[in-house]
Amino acid sequence: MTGLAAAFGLMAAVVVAAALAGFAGTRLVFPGTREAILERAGWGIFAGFAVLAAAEAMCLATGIRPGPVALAASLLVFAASGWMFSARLFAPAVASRRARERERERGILLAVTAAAAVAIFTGILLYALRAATEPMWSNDFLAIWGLKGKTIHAASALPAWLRDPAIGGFSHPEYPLGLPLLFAAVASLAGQWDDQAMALLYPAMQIATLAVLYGWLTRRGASRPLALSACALLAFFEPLYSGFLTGLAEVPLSLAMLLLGTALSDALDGTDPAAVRRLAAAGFLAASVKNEGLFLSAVAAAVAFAGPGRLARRMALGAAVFGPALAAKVLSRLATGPAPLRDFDMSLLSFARLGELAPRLAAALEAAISMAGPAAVGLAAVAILLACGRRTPAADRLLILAAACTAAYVVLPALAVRGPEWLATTTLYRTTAALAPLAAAGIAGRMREA
Amino acid sequence: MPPLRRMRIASAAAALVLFAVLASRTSPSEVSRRARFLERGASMDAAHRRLAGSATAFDRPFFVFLESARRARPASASGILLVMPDPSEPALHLAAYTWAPVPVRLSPAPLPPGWIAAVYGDGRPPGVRVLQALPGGALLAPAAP
Repeated sequence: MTGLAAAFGLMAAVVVAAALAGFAGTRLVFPGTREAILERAGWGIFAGFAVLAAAEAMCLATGIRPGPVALAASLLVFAASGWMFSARLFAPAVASRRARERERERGILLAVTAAAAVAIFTGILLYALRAATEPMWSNDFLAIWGLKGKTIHAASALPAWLRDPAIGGFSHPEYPLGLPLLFAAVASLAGQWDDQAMALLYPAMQIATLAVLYGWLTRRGASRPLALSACALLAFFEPLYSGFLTGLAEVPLSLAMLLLGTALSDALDGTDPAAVRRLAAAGFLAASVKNEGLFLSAVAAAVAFAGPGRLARRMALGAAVFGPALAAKVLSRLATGPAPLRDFDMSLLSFARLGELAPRLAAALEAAISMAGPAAVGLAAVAILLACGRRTPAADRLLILAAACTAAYVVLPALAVRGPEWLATTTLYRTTAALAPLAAAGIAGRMREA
Repeated sequence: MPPLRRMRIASAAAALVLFAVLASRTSPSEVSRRARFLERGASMDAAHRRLAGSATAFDRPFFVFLESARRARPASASGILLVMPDPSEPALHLAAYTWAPVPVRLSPAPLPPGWIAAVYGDGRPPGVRVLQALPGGALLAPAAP
């Protein structure tokens, strides 16, 4: 076996071990019934990765050298905790049963189901090929995520120079450390830093995303052909699942956003007692991956607050999602120290400079519109799909989250230090692409009864 | 035609168009090119795979210099000052990643105590001694007082 094949084999073993432990551990937030098995598997992959990152952080904080024993032990502890503190059963899955009955009544659309399944499998294979063709190469992998991960792995510490603006400023000390910690942890488990084999984490996250999307849609009443079709479109969504974004935070963030959106909807509708646990976990995970995870958690808290039910319950749900996200931010701040948002000039929000803001906002909007031009056909198709659905609170909440993030991504370049056009052209395409899973769940969720 | 049926046809058509748009972004030639590249890299070590990849495409000899410097760096050096004729952000980022966990600064900047300089190109700043000549440059340290 060649060196690269062996490295891929080792990394695949690490991914499978994390996924299995995560699957067992997610009984903390899911019942062990068939009803949620695929969705739980998707959560399990991400949970396994999160446990590895957390174990790496705890090793660094306590001075223990992160090694295979400590990391494997953390996975075992998490798996065992799933058995000891498993969640209670779902409420009777009326919607899901009804959907299956409808399918039987109509005769399942076998052709659609089979074609979608083939498309999903092909999409996963294509992304695996894109991700693993060469060592992860994007500039932001080299300058930020990979640099921090490799440094933490090699130094078994977070060196002070990474927080020094003069030396490590370009690596954005203000960004959360979840992804670099995951890179360092899997390298420790595999016994080597191989940035090509490590790319396998990304197709694993794509698989997790598709599993959660399918599982949530069918659990909330969508037919199997509809859920599979949504997954097929998402599996082929190359603007997110690209070689360029492999190694960056967008793919894990897109999964965290989907977890957060679906958990929020479940918690607001009271589908099961463990939905609040999932919401809290998703808030923490989203804010641990990227700063906008904290923003999304704040929007989710606002949606929860404006949702149905008693005020105390709504406030509790808002706190359940925003509290853990804030905790993740505080932990990150403790590790990295105070660091300003490097790309943004917040003084533009001061009264004295408000006059500068209007032309900057116009430039940011202009850049966003010009970037949307080449995607007009695809965007028109999405608009038709949206229009074909109908008002469904469970799904509409996900679209509200996606819309709030889109608005922020479009407007924020107005505050960019290097100018609105620069930030919009370098980031808008990929940041909005990360909203695809959330949007797919929202759009398909609105079509389930149509 | 009933509105529900119309809606279904419209959504199916929109989904098919969207799928076609997305699928057209990956050409068969790209797939085969990637497969061949992956196969070629299978017998290479990590540094050669990096050298053949996209991250080094802007200046492949520069990566040869970086990798040589990484292997030749004295263990006692606590940081590296990168000196090059046309400094750029991609060059700094590639150097920082290649030399991690050792900190890197781009010249012009002072050489802190304990650091060495890696000079890409033929230039040699005054007041330094050559620690090791490298392909495309050299590792330098301050001359002894």
